[in-house]
Amino acid sequence: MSMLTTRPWLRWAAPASVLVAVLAAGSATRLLAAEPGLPERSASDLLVKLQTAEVSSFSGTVVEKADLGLPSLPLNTRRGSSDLASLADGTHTLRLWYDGPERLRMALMGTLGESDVIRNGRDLWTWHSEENTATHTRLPASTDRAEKPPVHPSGLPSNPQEAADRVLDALDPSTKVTTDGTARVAGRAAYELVFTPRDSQSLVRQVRIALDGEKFVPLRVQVHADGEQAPALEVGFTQVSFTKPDASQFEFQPPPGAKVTEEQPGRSWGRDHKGRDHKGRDHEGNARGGHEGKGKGDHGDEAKGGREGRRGAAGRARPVVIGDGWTSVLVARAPSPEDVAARPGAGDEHRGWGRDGDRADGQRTGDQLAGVLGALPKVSGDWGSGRLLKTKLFSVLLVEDGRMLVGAVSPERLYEVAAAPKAQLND
Amino acid sequence: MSAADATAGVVTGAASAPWRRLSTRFLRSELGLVFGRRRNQVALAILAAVPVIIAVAVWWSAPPSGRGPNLIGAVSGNGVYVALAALGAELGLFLPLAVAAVASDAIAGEANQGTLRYLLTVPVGRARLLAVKYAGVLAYALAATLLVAAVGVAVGVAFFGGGEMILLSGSQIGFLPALGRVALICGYITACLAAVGALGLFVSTLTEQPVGAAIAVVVFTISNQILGTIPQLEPIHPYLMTHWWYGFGDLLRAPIATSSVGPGLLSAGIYTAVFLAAAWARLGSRDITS
Repeated sequence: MSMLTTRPWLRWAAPASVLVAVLAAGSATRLLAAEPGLPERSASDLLVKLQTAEVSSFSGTVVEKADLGLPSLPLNTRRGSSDLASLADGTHTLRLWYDGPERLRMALMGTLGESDVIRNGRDLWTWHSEENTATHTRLPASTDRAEKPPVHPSGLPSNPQEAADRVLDALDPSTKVTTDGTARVAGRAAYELVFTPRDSQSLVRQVRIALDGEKFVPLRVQVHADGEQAPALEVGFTQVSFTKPDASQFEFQPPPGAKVTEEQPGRSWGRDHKGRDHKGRDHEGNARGGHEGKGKGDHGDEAKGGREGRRGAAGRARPVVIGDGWTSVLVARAPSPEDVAARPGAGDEHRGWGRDGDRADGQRTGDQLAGVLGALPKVSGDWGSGRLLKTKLFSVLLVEDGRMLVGAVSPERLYEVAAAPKAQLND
Repeated sequence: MSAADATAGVVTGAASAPWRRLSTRFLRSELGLVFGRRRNQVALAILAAVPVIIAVAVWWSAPPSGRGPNLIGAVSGNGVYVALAALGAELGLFLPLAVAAVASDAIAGEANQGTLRYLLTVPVGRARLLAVKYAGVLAYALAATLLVAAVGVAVGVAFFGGGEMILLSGSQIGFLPALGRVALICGYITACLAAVGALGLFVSTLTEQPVGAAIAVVVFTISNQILGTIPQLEPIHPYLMTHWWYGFGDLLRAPIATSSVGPGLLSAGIYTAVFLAAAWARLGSRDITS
C-alpha cells in the first residue's frame, strides 16, 4: 500500500490490468479453440463420414452472419427484428430443436420478438410474436412417407466410400476439395472441409464446412467471397447438444388473442423453410413436391391469384442457365414492380411467411421494390442497359428489356452473358 | 426510511462518525443520504409514473389490432406486460439518467459542496468510501427498477387483470412464474445499470461538478445507443455498453435463452470492473482540495 501512496499513478495499473485480463481471456479462448487435437482425416474420408452421419435428435443455438455487402436499400431497415426476410443481412440468432424430420422447431430470435416454425407430426405451425399471428397447416399424410430422405434409389453407389469418391469425382472438374485441419465450433472439436472453385471467375473463393469431430454432422458453414478475409456468409452453431429435446418443445397452441390462419398444405412455407434447418434438403424436396402436385387446385383465392401472377410473369419465357459449375448464370424474365404491386399476397413474399397479404401490402411492396430498383446503379454496354446489384457473393443484372441475370460472378461476366444470343429469351 | 433517519444519515455521513471495522453504519448513512435526497425521490416518482401512464393510455385507446410495438401491444392481454413495457420504455433514457445522476453525485457532489475532505477525515480508506458510495448507487438502481416493475404489475393487474402470460415463443405461463420472469428481468436490468453506475462513479471522481458528470454519463450512454443504430458500425456493436440491454427479451422465451443475456451480463461485468478500478485509481491518486 505504501508504494501506492508514494506513487499514486501506479493505481492506474488496476483498470489497465482489468482490461488486459479481459483481452487476454478473450484471445486465450481463441487460442485454445485452435487446438482440438483430432486425428487427421482425408477429404474423402470426411465425405464418407458426412454421408453416414446419423443424428436422430439435437438442439442448439445457431448464429447466422451475413455480410454480403448489400447496398443500403430502403428495404434494408429491419435490423434486430425477428422477421425471416431480414436474414439476408446482419447477424441473427436462431434456436433449433430437432427430433427426427417429423418433429422440429426453429425459433428466430429478434430483440423483443420471435418467429417460430414448429412441426409436430402432421401439424405445421408458424408463429410471429411481433404480429401476434400464427398459421396452421395440416400436412397431408402422404408427405410423411415422402419425408424419408431418398437415400439409396437404385443405381446409387453401394457403400459410402464409393459414394464419396463419386462425389469427389463429380466435383473435381469444378471444385477442389481439401481438408484444412481442425477447428472448434460451439465448444466442440471439428474437422474443416474446404471446397474451392477452380474457376477463378467465381466470386466465391471457398466454402468451408466444419464437421463435428465425433458425430460428423456439419456444425458450421462459411462462404468466403473473393478477396475478403472474413466470411461473407456464415451459419454455425454456437451451442449444440445431441440429446433428445423435450417433447413439450414441439407442442404449440396459439395463445388466446392471436390471429390464426389455417393454410392449405403446399402453399408457401417450403420456400421460406428450405435450408433453414439441419435437414433442410428433405423438406425442400418435399415442399416442392407439394407445390407441383397440389398447388393448382385447392388454394384459397388469394393464394391462387398470387400463384397465377407469378406463373404469368415467369411463363413468358423459360429461364435458361448459361455456363456451368460455379460460374453458371441464370437468365430469366424479371417481374416488374407493377406486377408485384398488382399481385395480391405479395406482402407475404417479402416480409416473412404466413400472413394474408392484402392489396395495400402488395402495393407497398411494389413501391418498395420500385424504390430499391431506382436506387441501384445504372449500367450499360453493347448488351443494352439496365441496373446492377452487386454483392460480395453474387451479382444481379436487370436488363431494361425485362431480363434478369443472376450468378456468383462478376458484373463483367454478366454483361458478357447478356450479349450472348442464347440469353435473349426470344421464344 | 424516515426523514429523521435520513437527516441523521446526512450528518453522520458527511461530517463525523467514529469508525469501526465492518460496521454497516457508513453504508446505512449513505443509503439514507441517497434515498433521503428530495431530487432522488422525485426521480423515483417520475420513473414510477411511466407504467401508470402506459396502462392508462392503453386502457383508454381502442384495443390494439395486434400490430402494436411488441411489448405495448401485449399490454392489454396481460397486466404484467405493463411492467415490461415500462421497463423497456425507460431503459433507453430515464433509468440510465436516474442512475447517472446518483452516481455522479457520489464523489463530485461531495466535492462540490466542500464535504469531501471532511468525509475523508473519517478514519476509513478511500477504497471503502468508494465501495460504500457504489453500494448506494447499486441500491438506488435496483430500487428504481423494482419500483417501476412493482408499480407496473400493480397497475397492470388492476387495469387488465393477471392470469396467464404469453411469452415471445407463443407459449403461456401462470401468474407466479410470470412474476418470476419479471424479477429476473429486473435483475438483468440492474446489472446493466450497474455498469452505468460504475461509469458515473468514475466520472464523478474526475470533476467537482456533479451535473457535468451526469451529463457526461448520459452523453456516453446515448452516443452508445446512436452508434448501435448505425449499420456500418456493426463490427463494434457487441462491445458497446448499451448493445445488450434489450436482450432481456431472452428471459421471455420458453425455455429461457442465454444468447443475449449471457454476453449482456459479461459485458456489464467488464464495464463495471474497468470503471470501478479506474474510479479507485483516480480517487486514490487525487489531491482532494475541496
